[in-house]
Amino acid sequence: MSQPSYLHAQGLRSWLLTRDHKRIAVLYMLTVTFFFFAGGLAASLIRIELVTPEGDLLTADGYNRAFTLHGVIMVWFFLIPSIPSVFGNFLVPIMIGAKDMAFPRLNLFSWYMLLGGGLFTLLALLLGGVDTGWTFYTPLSTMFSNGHVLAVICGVFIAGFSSIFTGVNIIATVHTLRAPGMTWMRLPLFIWSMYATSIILVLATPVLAITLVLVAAEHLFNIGVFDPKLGGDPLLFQHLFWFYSHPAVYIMILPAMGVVSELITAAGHKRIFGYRFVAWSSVAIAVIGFLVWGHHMFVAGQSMYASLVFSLLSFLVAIPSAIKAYNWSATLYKSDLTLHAPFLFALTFIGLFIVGGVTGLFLALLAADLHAHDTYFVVAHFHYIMVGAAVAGYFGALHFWWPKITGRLYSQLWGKITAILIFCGFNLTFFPQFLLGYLGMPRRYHSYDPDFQFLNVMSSAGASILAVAYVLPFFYLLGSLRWGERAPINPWEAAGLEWRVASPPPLHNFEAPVTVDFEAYDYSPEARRDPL
Amino acid sequence: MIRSDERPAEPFVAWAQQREAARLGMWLFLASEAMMFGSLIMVAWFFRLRYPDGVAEAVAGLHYLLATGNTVLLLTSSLLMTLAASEPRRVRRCLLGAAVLGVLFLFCKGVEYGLEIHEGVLPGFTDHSTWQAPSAQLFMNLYFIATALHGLHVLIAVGLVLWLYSALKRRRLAPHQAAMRLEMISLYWHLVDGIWILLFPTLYLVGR
Amino acid sequence: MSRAGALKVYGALLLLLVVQVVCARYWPGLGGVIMFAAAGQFLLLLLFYLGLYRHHGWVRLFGWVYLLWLLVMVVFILGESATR
Repeated sequence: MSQPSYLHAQGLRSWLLTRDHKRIAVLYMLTVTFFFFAGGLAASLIRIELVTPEGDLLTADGYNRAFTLHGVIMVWFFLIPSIPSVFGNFLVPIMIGAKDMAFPRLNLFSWYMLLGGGLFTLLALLLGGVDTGWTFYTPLSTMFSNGHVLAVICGVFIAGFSSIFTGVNIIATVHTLRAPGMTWMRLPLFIWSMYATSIILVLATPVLAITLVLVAAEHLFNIGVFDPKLGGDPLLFQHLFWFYSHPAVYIMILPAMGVVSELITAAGHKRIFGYRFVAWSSVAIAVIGFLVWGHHMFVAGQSMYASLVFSLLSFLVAIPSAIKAYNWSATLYKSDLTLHAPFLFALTFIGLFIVGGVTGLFLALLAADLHAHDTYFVVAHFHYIMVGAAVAGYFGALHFWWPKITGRLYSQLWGKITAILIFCGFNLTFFPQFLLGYLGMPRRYHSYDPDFQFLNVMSSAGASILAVAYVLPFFYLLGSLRWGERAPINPWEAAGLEWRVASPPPLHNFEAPVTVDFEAYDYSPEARRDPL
Repeated sequence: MIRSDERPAEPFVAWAQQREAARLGMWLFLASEAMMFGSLIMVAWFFRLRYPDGVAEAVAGLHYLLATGNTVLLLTSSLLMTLAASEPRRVRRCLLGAAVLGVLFLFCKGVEYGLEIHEGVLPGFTDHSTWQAPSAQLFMNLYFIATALHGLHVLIAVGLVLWLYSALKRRRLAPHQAAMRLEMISLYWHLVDGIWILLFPTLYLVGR
Repeated sequence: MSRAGALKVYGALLLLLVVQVVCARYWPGLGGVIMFAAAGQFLLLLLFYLGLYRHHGWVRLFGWVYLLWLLVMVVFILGESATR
């Protein structure tokens, strides 16, 4: 072992000025964890308020600021960077047999942008905040909002560029730095989903950038683009905003799907069923995902013909997702299963993703959406995907690659307890919300009809279980850094290049340049498992 | 095999590899910039289709001949950037020429804005009573935002070209590095020009 | 790109510009022609100055897919507005 581990060099400068993708990944991990808890605090405020039908904890305006803070922080500063910037950065070079990302300095710069944009936004949200919701609909955000709209917009704008640069880095890396023999069809599926995510990052985020510029210009100069008095059109804002924000939700879910492919194959010690289908389905989700944004505007006054088209396309986008779910299930069939903690998170993902995905189809149906739009049904739908599935994917990745990243093993028992608590707490929190939405409770209201109280109390109770479950890893994962057993090179006996380098990996990932002559997920008995 | 002392940057093992990555990275960035301006151009067409009369009123007041001159400046600068790549002995001269033309573009744009402030049609400097149709003011505002954003990109491009010029003048760059930077900055320059090529007729020419 | 080639493309770009300005001055109804000429300029720039003519295979495919998808975005949004 000639190279020191990447964690060897000490001191603040070695971290803050690093170009090592692994260190940058750890920096991102700390950052997104911080924002997760900030957004979670806002969520706690919301759920506590909603225990009683009256608006007694927060004023209506205060409640608006709470859910805006929650949405803005969670979407842009936790979910979007979570898996791509943490696990993407750490794993992409290693999985393809490279020494680092294509643009190491750009990588570090991206982190600073996220941190800067995020702190700025958080400050603005705390110093009075914004009441527009994370969706910034006009004309509230441009003409009537009395909050720090401009400051929040600036922060999000900066974070957007962090996303774009991360996407550029990943695509360039996967194209040009694959080791000899690492053909496209031998790549781990995590790479395919990171690639598809990066396409969305690069192509959708600029539209958000211009939308934010226009909102800022409207706010500052009243240019009138979204103001009907001057001939502007509020619906145009929604077109531009959702053109980015719908693909953005695929940014949030595709990486988690890639993670699940890794977790399922590792737990089952079996090749993925239908590699090509799963690989191309990631690309298909990215492509079709760009064509469905109008389903957020069915009741906003959008043309009926456009709504028809968007509804149809929204049904189509479910197909590649379903393909993945079927292929994962087929992979598990007759596999040699190990029920470790990461696997429990993967199962959580699949179950909750299916519920979220199917309820998305309900909403894609024009007639049903008329009834369900802006109710808790929608809230439940997207939380099933973004929290139930995506956060489970993040936690699964955390539990799977923690030994590789830190070189320590954690308590499997506590990991499994966390997974089960998350599954139970999550369902208790969000399933009642489907019922609430169906019964007609509107979203973004701080007070509600007393008939809804029972379900709301159930939901808040579930949220407190979730809160405990989310805090638990702090103890056993951080504790493992001090007291955990040292991790072997391949604690899960998984396939993949990252499981053939030391835990934690050496500075330049590999002791010698790698040549690949094996297929992905090679779990055959003759497969090589020796360290590289 | 690398025969010179110049090594490609980590983590690349060959110049061709690094060049290809830089090219791909720059093209992706260009694609994202094109998305941004493409959306803006689409917004302009959105309002053109809705309010043909109001827009025509605004367009009639725009200084299209000055803008045509500006277009010629940008097209010529793109020519110079292309020649910089194909004529190694004239690189610095071509770069300087392109930068000068870029600065001239910005100067003329400033003159144009000055005229428009004087006429009272620019947002922030207007009293709203100049137009018959409110959508005319809307289009003027859009014109301002779009050209200002584009102008900002021209400024950045000029900055990049001058930075390369000075690095080449002081012989601080190795040959591979210089060629790569020239290629990347040229790509960026041509995109800024390309955006103007579509923005100019959209704002100034159609429906005069 | 050779010097002669660059100059030829430059000439074509200027010619198309003249077409646009003349059209705008004397035949204001022909907005389509103006935009067509502009699109021609953009394509010339894309293919020759930006150098896309040198790329084949996947790059060309992705390039067309990207442009097509931009077109779809424009058609969807403008179409929605027109059919309201």
